[in-house]
Amino acid sequence: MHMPDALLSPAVAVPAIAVSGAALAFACRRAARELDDRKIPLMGVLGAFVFAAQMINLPLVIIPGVSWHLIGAVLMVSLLGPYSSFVVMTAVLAIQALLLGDGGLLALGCNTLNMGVISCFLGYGVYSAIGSWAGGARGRTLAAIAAAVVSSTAAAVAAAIEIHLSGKNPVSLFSAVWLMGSVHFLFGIGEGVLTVAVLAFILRLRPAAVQGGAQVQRAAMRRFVLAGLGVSLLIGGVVSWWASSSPDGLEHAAAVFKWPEGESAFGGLMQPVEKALASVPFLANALIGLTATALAFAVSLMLSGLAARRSAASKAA
Amino acid sequence: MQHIVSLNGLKHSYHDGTAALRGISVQIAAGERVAIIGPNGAGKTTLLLHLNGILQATAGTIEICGRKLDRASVAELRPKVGIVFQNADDQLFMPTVLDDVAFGPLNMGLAPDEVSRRVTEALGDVGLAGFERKAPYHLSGGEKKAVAIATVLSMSPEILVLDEPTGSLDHRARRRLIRLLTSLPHTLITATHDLRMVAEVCHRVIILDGGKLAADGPAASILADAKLLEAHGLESPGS
Amino acid sequence: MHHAYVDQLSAMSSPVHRLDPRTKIICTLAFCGIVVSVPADRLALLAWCVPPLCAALAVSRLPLLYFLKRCLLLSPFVATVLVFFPFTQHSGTEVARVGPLHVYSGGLLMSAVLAARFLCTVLAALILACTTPFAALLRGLEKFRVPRMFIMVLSFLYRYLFVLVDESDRMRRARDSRSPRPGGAAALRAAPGMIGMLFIRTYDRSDRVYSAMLARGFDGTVRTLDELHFHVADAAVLAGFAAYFIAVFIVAR
Repeated sequence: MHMPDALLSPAVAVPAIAVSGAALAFACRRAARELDDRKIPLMGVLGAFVFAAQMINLPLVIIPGVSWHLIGAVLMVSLLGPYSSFVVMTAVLAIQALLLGDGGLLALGCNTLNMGVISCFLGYGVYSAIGSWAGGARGRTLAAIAAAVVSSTAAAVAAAIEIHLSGKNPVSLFSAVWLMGSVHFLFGIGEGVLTVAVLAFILRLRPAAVQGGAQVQRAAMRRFVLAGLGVSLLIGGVVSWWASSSPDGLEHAAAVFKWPEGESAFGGLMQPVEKALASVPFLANALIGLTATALAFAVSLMLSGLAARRSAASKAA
Repeated sequence: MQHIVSLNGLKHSYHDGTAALRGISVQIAAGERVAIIGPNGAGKTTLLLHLNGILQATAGTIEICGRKLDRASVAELRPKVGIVFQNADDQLFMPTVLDDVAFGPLNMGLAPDEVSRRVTEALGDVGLAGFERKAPYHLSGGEKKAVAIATVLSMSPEILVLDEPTGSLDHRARRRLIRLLTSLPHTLITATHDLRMVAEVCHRVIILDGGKLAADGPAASILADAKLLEAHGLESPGS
Repeated sequence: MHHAYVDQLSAMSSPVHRLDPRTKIICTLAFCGIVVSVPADRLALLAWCVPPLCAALAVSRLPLLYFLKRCLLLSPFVATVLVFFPFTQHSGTEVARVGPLHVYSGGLLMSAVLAARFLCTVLAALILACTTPFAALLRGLEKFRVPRMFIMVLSFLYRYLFVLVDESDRMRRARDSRSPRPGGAAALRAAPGMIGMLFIRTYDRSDRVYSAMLARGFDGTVRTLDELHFHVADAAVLAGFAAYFIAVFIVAR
């Protein structure tokens, strides 16, 4: 999901660099408090681990020939906590951009925002919220899967929005968001399940390593849940409002060059779908998406709470 | 005569309670070259890690250069004991050889000019002059081991401690290492399985078995005692 | 491995290699910024970005064939967008028809511009990577006030990158030689163990590295010798770069 420079405009890339840079500086200071003195070799070597783990190609069993791989953000978050894992993931992204050309140099800001800030902080918010509410091994399992799904989808949606705001989106924002979001929703499930399996393996052999990030105070957890919801509101609500109220890159270009008004649909294939979606104003679309996410969040919290209560009851019985 | 390393009743137990060292008492004089040999699990590496305070004794005392080694004196005494670990890859953790060899002296608070001088000198001593810009990944096993020794030499230690120095080296690299060790004036303490190297390099041999001192004497006589060696899971190096 | 090859190339020598990393970083970022900022209707300006790239490539003595091959590796993002634009951008004249889909020249133009931008930025970044040893790159970044902890994490990451990739390669080979059929569900089942084992080996290694650092007096701060020196060549390159693009913008107006 690494975006190249060519797909972003300076108006999007530069603020993203500023925000990511500030987040990195902040995280470095916080990471100093999160782990003890051995954090620098630990984070560095774990960065190499994440890089190497991402190179292990796994078959997408349902579609032969297609492969996927672990991203590792949720794994890092569950082992190191949000700030240290953010530093690690950002380091991996930087290495990939600098050495592999995977992701542009100017795009590092946006890529870090998506696969660093959102993956680690939103992921941690979901992980600790569900982990604390549900409790125990089952809670951790649900927490990891939920964290992977939510952060994966959110990161993909953010990427789609960034490309759209840069004027390089060939389809409508809604199509791009749905395309990216749905694909990464599925990948998120895979990531979550694999992360749980890896965590179980590590817990058996090196339980000390797992103590790290999962300890959260109730207050801090609430802060993260709110922050996570806030981020999604920001992306879905404010950014989309901005995108819809000012003409986007393509529309602007169309206005300037007096291009004929064309349906921004892929020939006639998506036309009926697009027509139905276009009839509802974009803001309404955003609100629908947001409500659905929030509902899903709430439902999973309720379910995990029920599961926790039931396991507590069966223990007491 | 003051001993440069003095262990008295050194005991160490792991977290789960198993005893690793059961009361070791050894006195080593400056300039001596001592080999610690014994079967696997005897506690050789554990013993070495006490010498610069990475592991703390659960009982007994350690004296380095006449001073007691404890939490307060560790920072001052650590530069005097240069440990070269078994796996050179773990010891060369900086991006270039220069950075690795400079790491120790810089931590000692020396001026950049002095650090550069020491780096050049240390690399020269191990026969790798001009290797400053190289990345550790590109070095051969023998070169890595030599750089690892240089990283410790640049701190001007009094005592060199080596854990399995000839472990993964090919014949040529091993030859070069033996020549290097015999040329260095430092007090040498090495834990090793390589009894042939011990015969060439060391004056004195200590046998460690089950956390206890089983023998302590001149290298020539201990290495010739095949029965003693066999009793502790070792094989005589032969002619 | 690609990153291993980049590592080799960056250790070579040429006038470009010898420049201060800060010069190269500034030029590369500025170049990418210019390429990305050129408005879509000013194609001529984009064409003027090509000569500096060619000059840098030529002077750096890097293997041309390797670079051409890397160019062909399209990012999936760019590939998708490139394919979509000609069909969804209904502007200009209709050029062709593929079944029910119309292809317009406006869309083709947008694809071409996107491809050009992609090539220029990717090549620039690649030249930077292949002419600057990573350790030097980190020193340059440090001078630009990138947080020290991050620089150190990058340093350790890079140092152990090759070691860990080797380990993971070995595990993959072991897994493949024990699987009935590569790419089957067996590979998936082996994944948690492989990744978990890789983690544990890494975790243990970090313990040993930390011990080694302690043994050499580590107290929480990693210190390095300051080594970067700005030379006349650097000033000349920066001035030349600026002059070139200022001239281009003035003339093209």
